[in-house]
Amino acid sequence: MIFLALLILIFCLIIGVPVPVSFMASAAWLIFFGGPAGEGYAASQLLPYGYAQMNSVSLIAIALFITAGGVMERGKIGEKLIDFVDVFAGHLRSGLGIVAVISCAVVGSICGAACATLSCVGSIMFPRFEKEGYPRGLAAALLANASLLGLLIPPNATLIIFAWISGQSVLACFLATVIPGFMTIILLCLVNWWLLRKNTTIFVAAKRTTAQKVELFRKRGRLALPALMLPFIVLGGIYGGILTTTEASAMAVLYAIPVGLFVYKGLNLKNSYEVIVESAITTGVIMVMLYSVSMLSRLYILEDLPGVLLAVFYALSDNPVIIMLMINLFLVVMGMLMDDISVVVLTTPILMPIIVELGFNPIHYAAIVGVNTGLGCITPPAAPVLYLSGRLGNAPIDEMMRPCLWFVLLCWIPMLAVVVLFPKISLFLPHYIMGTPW
Amino acid sequence: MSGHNDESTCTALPECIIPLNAPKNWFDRIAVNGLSLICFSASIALTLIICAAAFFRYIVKGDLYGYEEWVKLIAFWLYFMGAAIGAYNRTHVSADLVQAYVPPGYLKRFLVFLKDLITLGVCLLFVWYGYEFFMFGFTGPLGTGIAIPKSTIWRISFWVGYLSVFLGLSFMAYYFLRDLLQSTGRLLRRAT
Repeated sequence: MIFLALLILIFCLIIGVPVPVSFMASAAWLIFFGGPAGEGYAASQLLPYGYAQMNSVSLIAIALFITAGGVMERGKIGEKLIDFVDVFAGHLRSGLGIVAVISCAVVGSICGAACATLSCVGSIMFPRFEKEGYPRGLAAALLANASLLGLLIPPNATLIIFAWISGQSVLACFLATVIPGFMTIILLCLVNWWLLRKNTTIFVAAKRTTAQKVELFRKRGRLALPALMLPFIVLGGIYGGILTTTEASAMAVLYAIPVGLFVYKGLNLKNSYEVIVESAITTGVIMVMLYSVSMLSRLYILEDLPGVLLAVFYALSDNPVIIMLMINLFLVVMGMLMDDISVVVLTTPILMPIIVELGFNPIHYAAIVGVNTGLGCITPPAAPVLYLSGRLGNAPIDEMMRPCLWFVLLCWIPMLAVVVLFPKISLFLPHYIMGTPW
Repeated sequence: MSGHNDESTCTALPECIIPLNAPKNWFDRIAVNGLSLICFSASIALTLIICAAAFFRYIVKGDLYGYEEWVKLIAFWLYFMGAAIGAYNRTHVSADLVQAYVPPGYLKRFLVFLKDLITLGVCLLFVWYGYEFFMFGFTGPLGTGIAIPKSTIWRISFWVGYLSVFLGLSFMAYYFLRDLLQSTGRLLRRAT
């Protein structure tokens, strides 16, 4: 019965049934025909179970981070942050790429989602890339890749969901992706520089004198100060142990709205209403998916799907590292078909018992999931971030594919290998800050 | 991933969500505007209550008594009303391989019809479960209106939260029905 339930899920996903309804379809099959003797399960327990699972204050952070991201974009807060980052790297050769990467990391740390980061930074950076003669395909590929830093530089929605499903500490999961996130920033900048090393068409700004740098820093720093307070509130609040993730997200919204309204004047009453409702829709779409997967995962666990999968893995190899590589391959394939959050909500309840059984640290797995889902988001056929970047940057997909392939080969795959094979890289911060075991 | 929108280029990403894109009939206008208002109010209320809780804890050194009961309840209304507008806007996440890779023609129209049929059928089943869930909260475990489950501190009846699940799923089913009628129309028109 479990295989038929999986087949129904896959079939529904392929023909385009919305992901939450696909989960419900698979659950419905098990409700009617699941169980050891095919007698089914009590449907009356299912919705209350999902409700009890979702009845969590920490999940509200997702809704509020999405709202904060929307307010940041419309309120021109992101624009001021990017102008400020430009002071440090804008004058270097291929420096605009570095500005884009670092801006994505900063904005992503507040938005917490790749698409929101991309639309916020992309709307500002694409005209600048065009003005400075960057190849359209490369610019779009770079921003698509850099926007995924929102999945690695915490806080972010994907890791909150991962922590919620797997029962791990949200902060520990956040900390696990910090070092891989910074390493990815460096790799993205280096690959961008390498791809542009022979390009003679891009504009390189005249070298700035120290006095000019100080003047620019002072001028843009003053303008960006209210915007810079936002990452300070979110990151300082969470890592300083002052605020919970949910409180930090609420503070971010409460701070960003007046800044967008009265300081940068990107918001007015009408678009404030719109942006909050748009964020609520995004939240609703994600949360119904979580609700349906929490019901489905309960049924899958009752049917012992993790045990069945583990038996399949053991039949192929009994080496935990090989099994971990197979799990990664599975995650990459899933990432090619679905978006990051869908992959996390579907695979975490099934794979987490296997990870624990194999003796891997769940926090280490959080970092693997962060990097792996990032890779999936830019790997066709379902590569939402790649397509969105192409649309925002008016870049044909074929022009984007070659540079994107270089980013995947030289940045994401090495990063994934490092995170999988060297667990201490991701466990270092959780261990030293929170005392989680190696 | 893409939105399962047949007619526009909507890709289920935040940018393409246009919640107030002029509903055509009076029912949609009332429903979507009402749902949007609930979402807006819920977002603002959540922000203010959670910030107030943090303020009370650090500044006043007190406790916003039982605030979690309220925020969880409001959050459910936000989630399910947002999801209902998502169904109206066709922005629910889907791995829409048929739209992307099947060439236009009878097969594609049939697969879209099948997708809409399955979507509606499954959603209606869960609307029924949602109704039973709501009635469990509304009439209590004995079905007599006695011993209605309530929260511990503020004594808020749980059915208030359960109602959001039932209503959200109902609105989703309504908009999935609209999609099914449209795809059926397309399938039959081209077939004749």
